[in-house]
Amino acid sequence: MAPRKHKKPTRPHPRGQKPMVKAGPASDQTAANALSSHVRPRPTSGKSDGLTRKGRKSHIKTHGPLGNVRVDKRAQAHKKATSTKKEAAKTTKAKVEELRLNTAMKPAGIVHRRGKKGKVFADDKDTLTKVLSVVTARMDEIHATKIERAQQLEAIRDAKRKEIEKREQQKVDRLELKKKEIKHLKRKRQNDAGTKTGKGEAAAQDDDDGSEVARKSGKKRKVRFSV
Amino acid sequence: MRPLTEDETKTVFEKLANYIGRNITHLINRPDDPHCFRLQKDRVYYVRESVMRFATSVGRLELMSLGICLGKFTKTGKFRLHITSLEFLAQYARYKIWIKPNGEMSYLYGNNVLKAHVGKMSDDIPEHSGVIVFAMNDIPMGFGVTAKSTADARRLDPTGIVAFRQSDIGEYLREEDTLFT
Repeated sequence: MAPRKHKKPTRPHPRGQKPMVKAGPASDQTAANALSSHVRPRPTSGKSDGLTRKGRKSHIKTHGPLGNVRVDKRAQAHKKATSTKKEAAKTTKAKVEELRLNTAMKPAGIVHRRGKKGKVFADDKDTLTKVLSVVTARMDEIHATKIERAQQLEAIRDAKRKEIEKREQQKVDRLELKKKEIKHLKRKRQNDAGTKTGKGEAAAQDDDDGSEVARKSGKKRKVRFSV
Repeated sequence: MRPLTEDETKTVFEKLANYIGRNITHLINRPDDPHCFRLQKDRVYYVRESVMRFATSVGRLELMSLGICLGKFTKTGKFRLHITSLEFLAQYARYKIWIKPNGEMSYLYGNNVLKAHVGKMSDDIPEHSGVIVFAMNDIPMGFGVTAKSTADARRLDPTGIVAFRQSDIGEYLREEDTLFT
C-alpha cells in the first residue's frame, strides 16, 4: 500500500507561524516515527490550525503509545525544588542589595521634618501669652532703641546749638572790644591834638560826628542844587 | 473658620502692639467674658467664645463674618488693621493725638494729621510709632503712625505732617462695599 500523500500548505500562515504537520493515522508506522519527534497536538474542533493555548505551552503527556521519552517524576521534583531555592536566594540577594541602595544615600539638601505634621494652632491662653511675651519683648527693645536714639540725637542737637550760640557770643564780644579799642584810640589822638592846639575839649565833644576835619580846616560846607 | 497658627498670632500681635503695647493681655485675659481670635478666609476676628461655638454650625463658605473684625492678612502674609478694630485700639491706646475741630473734616476725608490741626498730643512719642487720633471731645476718629517725635513735632512748621493716616472712620462710608465682604 502506497503511503498517503500529505497535503502541502498552500500558503504561509498569516501570523508568521510555522505550519504544523498534522498527525496521520496510528497504524502508519513511518508516519508515526516521523511524528514522534514533533509535539503532537491535541485534536480540536473548529480551530483552523488545530492548536489551543494549552497545546502551545506543551502540556502534553509524553507517556503513551507514541511517546518514546520517559519522565522521571522524582528527578523532576528535585529539579524543581532546587530551582525554586536558587531563585529565592537570588531574589533575596537582589532585594537586600536594592534595599541597601535605597537607604544608603541621603540627599544632603533634603531635611525630613520630624514631629507633628500640619499647622500648630495657638488657641489656648498659655500659648497666646507665650507668643505675646515674645512679641512684647521684641517691641520693647525696638521702642527702647528708638527712644535712646531720639535722646542721643537731641543731645547732639543741643550740643550743636550751644556751640553756635557760643560762637556768636564770641563774635559779638570781639566786635565790642574792637569798638572800644577804636574809641579809646580816637580819644587819645584827640587829646594829643587838643594839647597841641588848645582846643582839646571841644574837639573831643564833636568826635562822634565826623565833622572834626571840616572844623579843623575852617571851611564851611557848601551845598549846590542843580536847577 | 479656624484658630490662628502661632506665626499668624505673632504677626497680629506685633501689629496690635504698635498701638496698644502690652495691653494686648487685656484682650486675651477676659475671665468675665472670654474671647478668642479666629481666622475666617483671610480676616481675623475677635469673637466671644459662645458666639464662636454657634458659628461652628455654619459652613466655611456660608459664614460671612463673626465677632469684630480686627483686620486682614494680605497675600504677602502681612497683617493690616481695619477701622473696625478702633474700638479696642482706642480703649487701650498707648499714644494719642487730639485734633482741633478745624482739622476733623480734613482727617476724615483721608488726609494726614498736620501740625496746625493738632490740639494736643502725648509726651515722649517716638517717631514711626502707632497713635490713635481723637477729636477734642475724646471721640476716636482713627489711627496712624507718627512722622516726627513729640519733640520734633513742636519745632515743625504749621503745614508739616505730624502723623500719617492709616485708617479713619470716614472709611465706613468710603469703603462701604469692601469693608464687610
